[in-house]
Amino acid sequence: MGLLLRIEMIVMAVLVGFIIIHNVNRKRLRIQYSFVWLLIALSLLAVAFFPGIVIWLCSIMSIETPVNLIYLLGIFALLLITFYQTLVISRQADRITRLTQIVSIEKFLAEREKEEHDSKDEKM
Amino acid sequence: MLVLPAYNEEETIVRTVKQIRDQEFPTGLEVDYVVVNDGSFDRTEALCQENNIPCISLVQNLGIGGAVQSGYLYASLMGFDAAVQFDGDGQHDIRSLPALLAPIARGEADFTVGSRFVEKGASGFQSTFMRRLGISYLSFIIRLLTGEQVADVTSGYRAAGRKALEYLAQDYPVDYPEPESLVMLHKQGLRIREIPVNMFQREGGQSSIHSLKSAYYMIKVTIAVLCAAMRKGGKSHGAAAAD
Repeated sequence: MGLLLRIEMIVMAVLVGFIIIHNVNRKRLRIQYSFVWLLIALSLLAVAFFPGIVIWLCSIMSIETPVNLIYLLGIFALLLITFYQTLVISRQADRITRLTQIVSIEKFLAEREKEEHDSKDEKM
Repeated sequence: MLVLPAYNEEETIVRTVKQIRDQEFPTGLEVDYVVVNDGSFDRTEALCQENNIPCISLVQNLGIGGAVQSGYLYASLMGFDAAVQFDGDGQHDIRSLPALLAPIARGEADFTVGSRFVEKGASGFQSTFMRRLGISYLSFIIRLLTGEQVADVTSGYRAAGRKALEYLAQDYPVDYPEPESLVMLHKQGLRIREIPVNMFQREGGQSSIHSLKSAYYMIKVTIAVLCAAMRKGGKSHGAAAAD
């Protein structure tokens, strides 16, 4: 694995780490969702400092160049994250639906009560 | 409890409600109704207010599934014995209501589907050929998966007894919900019955099924029905959202 690639990975990892921490501090990213990104940054660092891990994995998986394994793992990681996000989106959509229903029904009941109250007042 | 889901039904909603108001029901059958306005951008809401029609206006558009479920939720909260889905576009004949509710009142069924196909209704309206083909395909799939024999699986004229409406208030499919919900109800061990009803050509508004989208509709419903059939029955899925 070339030195340049290793330096690139270190730069990437530091950049990702910085962006994640920055966004957590600005309350734009929940800590629970930051873990997975920090984990990716950490694994980038690990590979950059200890390329032996990747080279060894390549040899047992019979992949010719280590960089291919990095791509492969990267794609898998992204797929997993995307899938997890669709799960979160679906759950949130369900909750929004339920909230909308309850708010709308409550609003309807409140208005009806108010009308009944008003008409009673008129009679009196 | 009649639930009238309405999405931009300004042309027909007042007339539909008038039919309900004018209809005389047999003694013992008390009918209340509510319009669920699914974020219409026409005058549906204003017309309801002018004409003193009870109307739950959803604060944002939820689609037909979310709108109908709001009705079930409302019926469940208010303790109604049955909830009937009744289209706001004038397709459904209110005179068929007692027949639709009868099996539920007698305790013979938990859920009834008003069908155009069991036998010809008074108006003889039975929909277009392509639509019938699609419906018989869905009907076949549902019969294959559940053994439940329902010809008009997409019918939006449906009545739910207490048990079914409690369940549907918690768990209802999002879009194109009619066929899928049948499978879900079957999985809950609820008894479904199909009843012949009268329907008219729609007087205005648009079907939630457009011709362009019908291919997508078929695929989506097939997947949905298959998923629902593989789901374990018994426990309500709604509980998972409360984790």
